[in-house]
Amino acid sequence: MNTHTRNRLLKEMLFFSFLICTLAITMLPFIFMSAEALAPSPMANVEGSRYLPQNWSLESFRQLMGVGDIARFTMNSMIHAFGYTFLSLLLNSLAAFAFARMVFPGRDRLFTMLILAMMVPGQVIMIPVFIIVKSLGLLNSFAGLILPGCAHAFGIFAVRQFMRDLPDEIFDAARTDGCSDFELFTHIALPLCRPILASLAVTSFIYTWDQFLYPLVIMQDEPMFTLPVALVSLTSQHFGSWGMLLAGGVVTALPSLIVFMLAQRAYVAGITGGSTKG
Amino acid sequence: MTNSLQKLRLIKIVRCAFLLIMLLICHAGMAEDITLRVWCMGGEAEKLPKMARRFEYENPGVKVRIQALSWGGSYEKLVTAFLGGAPPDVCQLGTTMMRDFYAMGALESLQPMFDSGDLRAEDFFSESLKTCTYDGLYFGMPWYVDTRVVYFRREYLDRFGWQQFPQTWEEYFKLGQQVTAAKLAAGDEIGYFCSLQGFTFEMFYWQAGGDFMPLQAGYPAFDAAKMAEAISYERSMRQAGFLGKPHDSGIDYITEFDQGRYEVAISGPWMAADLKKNQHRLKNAWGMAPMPKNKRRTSFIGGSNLVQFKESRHKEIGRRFIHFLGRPDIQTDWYEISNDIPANRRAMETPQLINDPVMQVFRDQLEDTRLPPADREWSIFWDRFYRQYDAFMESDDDVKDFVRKMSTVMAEVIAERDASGKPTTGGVYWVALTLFPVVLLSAYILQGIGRRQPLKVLTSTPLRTVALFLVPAMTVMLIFRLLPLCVAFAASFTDLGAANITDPTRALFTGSGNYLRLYQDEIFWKSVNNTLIYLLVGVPANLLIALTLALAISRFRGWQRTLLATGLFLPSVITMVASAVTWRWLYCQQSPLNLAINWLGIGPLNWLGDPDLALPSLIIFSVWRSYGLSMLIILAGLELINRELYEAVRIDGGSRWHEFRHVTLPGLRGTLFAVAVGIVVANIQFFIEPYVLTGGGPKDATMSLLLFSYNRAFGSFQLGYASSVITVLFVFFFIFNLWQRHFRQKLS
Repeated sequence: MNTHTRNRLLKEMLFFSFLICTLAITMLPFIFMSAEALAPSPMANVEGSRYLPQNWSLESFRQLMGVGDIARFTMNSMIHAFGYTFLSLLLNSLAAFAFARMVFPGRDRLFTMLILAMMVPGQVIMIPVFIIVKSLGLLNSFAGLILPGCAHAFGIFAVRQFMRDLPDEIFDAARTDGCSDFELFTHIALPLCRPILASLAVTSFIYTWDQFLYPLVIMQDEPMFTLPVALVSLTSQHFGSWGMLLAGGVVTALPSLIVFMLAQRAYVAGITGGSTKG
Repeated sequence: MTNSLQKLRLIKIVRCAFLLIMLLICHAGMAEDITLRVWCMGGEAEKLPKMARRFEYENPGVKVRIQALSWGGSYEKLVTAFLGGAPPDVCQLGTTMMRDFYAMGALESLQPMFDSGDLRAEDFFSESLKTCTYDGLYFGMPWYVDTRVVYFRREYLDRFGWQQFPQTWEEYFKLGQQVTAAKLAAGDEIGYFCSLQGFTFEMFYWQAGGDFMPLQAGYPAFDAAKMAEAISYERSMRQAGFLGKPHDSGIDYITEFDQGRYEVAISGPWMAADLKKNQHRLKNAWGMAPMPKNKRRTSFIGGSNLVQFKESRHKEIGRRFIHFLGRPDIQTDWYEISNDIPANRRAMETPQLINDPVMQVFRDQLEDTRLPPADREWSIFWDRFYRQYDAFMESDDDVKDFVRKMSTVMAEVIAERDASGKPTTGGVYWVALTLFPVVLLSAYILQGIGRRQPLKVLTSTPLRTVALFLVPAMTVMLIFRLLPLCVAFAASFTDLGAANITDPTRALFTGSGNYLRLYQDEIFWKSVNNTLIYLLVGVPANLLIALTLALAISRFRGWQRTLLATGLFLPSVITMVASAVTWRWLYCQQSPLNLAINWLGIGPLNWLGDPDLALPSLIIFSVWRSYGLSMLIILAGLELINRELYEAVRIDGGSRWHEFRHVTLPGLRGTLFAVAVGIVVANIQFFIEPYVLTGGGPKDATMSLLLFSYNRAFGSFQLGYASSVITVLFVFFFIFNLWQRHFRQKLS
């Protein structure tokens, strides 16, 4: 009995030290980054051997605020990120439902084609996409920024896998109760999919929030710049401004983190939602 | 609920109103002044506003709006701005980019300025002006020039009684021998004399008296004897231990120079500025000199030009601004601010600069500079040249054989150029070839329908309902994914590039030319190899870490869980630019990471500079950045597993392992598969990591398929060639998909 509890204790200790180690390794670069952003002359210690800056200074952040209409760029980024997240959740979960819970001719091969088309990333077909966006008159608009990428393979794929794993009985029961396909989607599938939808929302948000190359070419007027584009275009790329880039990194990471923490609540909701299904 | 909705709506309305007001203000402001849009590179953009204010003062009613082109994406930004019809009025263009933009027909001729005498051709260095000259007309004004000179530490010069820095190759070699011997005797482990940084082979060749000839089949492109002389000279220096390998310490070379790792460095004007401005140990014990000469002392010339875009709406004022920046007094002041060497010779003769010792050295050197040939064929040639060069440098093989081999390589490159391009494609071609994959894919899907219909037709959902769910996503994909892909497919059979992008019907049909070239391209195979390694190591690592952590975290609930998950997810939310800067710093010589490793006794590693370590370094970076996401999705999948199953196992007395093996894993199968496919999809795009951290180097050790394609598309604007990579990738995916289906069917 005694050895048993000691064993357990040992295991617990191992478990926690593992967790703490991983957490430390994961977070260290971020800590260094924040620390350097707060240093008077960031990244200057190539020669020295200090781990953390000796003095602290908000200079980098002050410079960052002087870059331009930061509020405007932040709002553009918000519209971009939220618009994209909303649309991609909608379109992808709709399509995923069709692929997961409907039977129609050509389904599997269509799905294959879709995944294949998605595997080629946007960067390399940027010129054709750009020309199409331009010919649709969507340059310099949020539509041109959001639409082209909002239906994506990963979204459809992840939601479809999740929907397939949902127990068939609920759907059969609902259908015998007279639910239409659309009601099955809104009343049964979507609520049950909350965890995966939350993950997808976080992913989409972070992806767009950090997107650089595509907004750079689509949003050509400065008032339409998103935050990353503005940060890189309006701050110079000389060594002196590393601090600003890092400060920008810290600042721009915050909204994503907040979205992430909010999404955590959806998991909990998802759990209770799942357990009441009885 | 409704309350918050109303609030949201209110915020929306306020936001729209705000936007409207902003637009109105902007509009009202624009009516008064003419705004000149000027784009330049980051370093210049930081300092140019000072000059722009002066221009505004001299030209009332004109506002100059300066925007920086970033290190990532300047080429893309310019190309798309031009194609989108919104290029800047005046723009800084590197000498290497001039040709492409001229070919696109983007540039306005500045010939009138030269004709009217506003600008005088003889004021500029002729080699520099050459980069602006196409078909006998000037399409730009040289803004500043750039060349390389020698920086040396004085101590050894004094010790061996040299009055001045060596003037000739022989003297240089002698000093090198003396210094290396002395350094080795003093206990220096390597005794390097000169850093290879800043050298290009072209310099030696020019100094030996060689010139690059126009590329014509059947004629030599370079002088074989001079080439051999240049190669032997470099080999003798390397074998005597003078030349250090570039980047082999991971510290930047100015610091290396300051610390005495090298006695000599080849660099541009910024090094003088850095040595003067920053607190270095060296203080004033350094000097500068033009290149040592053999037949001549040639260095290379580079720099930037100012150009005007054809679509500019304020051409007259744009020209005025260009003229302003070319004025001797402004050029002189610009040098003081930016350390950019004036392109206008008269600026060097102004009282401020005529006695400037640094400027004197540059002025001497600039009298003997050459422009490296800009033809695409040369860059292909150098690629193949350097592939064999290092091995040759370490061998004792005959130089003449090597040069002969290189002549053959060049002949091949020219033959490849002449072989490509047959008939003009025309519009019909594009439509036909774009539709071809559409037809093929539709046939594939239709064939699938034919096979399954008898079985499933009874349980089918009505097609109208299916359409309702599928149409939104499908439309978006069709227009913005499939169509561009099909266009890329069509383009892969042409020579689509800078010369014909504005009118693709003028592109030449090259048949399988691009694919043959791909097959022969060593960098392509290297990038295939790298991408596969990346997949085989990165994906399992990512999955394993994510699964372990997800299982560990799933024990927690509430705030503890949020905290843990947030911490582990942190890397995924930091912007790419910031995390790239951080990791580049972590991977450099004296970073905390290297110190920690040093403490373990492995010694500092040159993470990104060592060809063997660079790929693993990128994989670490990538896994660090991406496992949080996989963890998140696995965590979501865990919630789906019926908790009663765990109870059942526990009642049966099953161990943790049993739980994992018989409940967790089967329950997670779908999720894990989705995550794995997701990571494969994300990682096959192994792009952003090398793009920001290494640019594919060193020696293509981190070149990935996509970066390869991307570089061909935007580095050298060979859209046709770049497209062939995409097609190959697509076919590869297709086969992979068929195989994995087959595999899974066999399993079940």
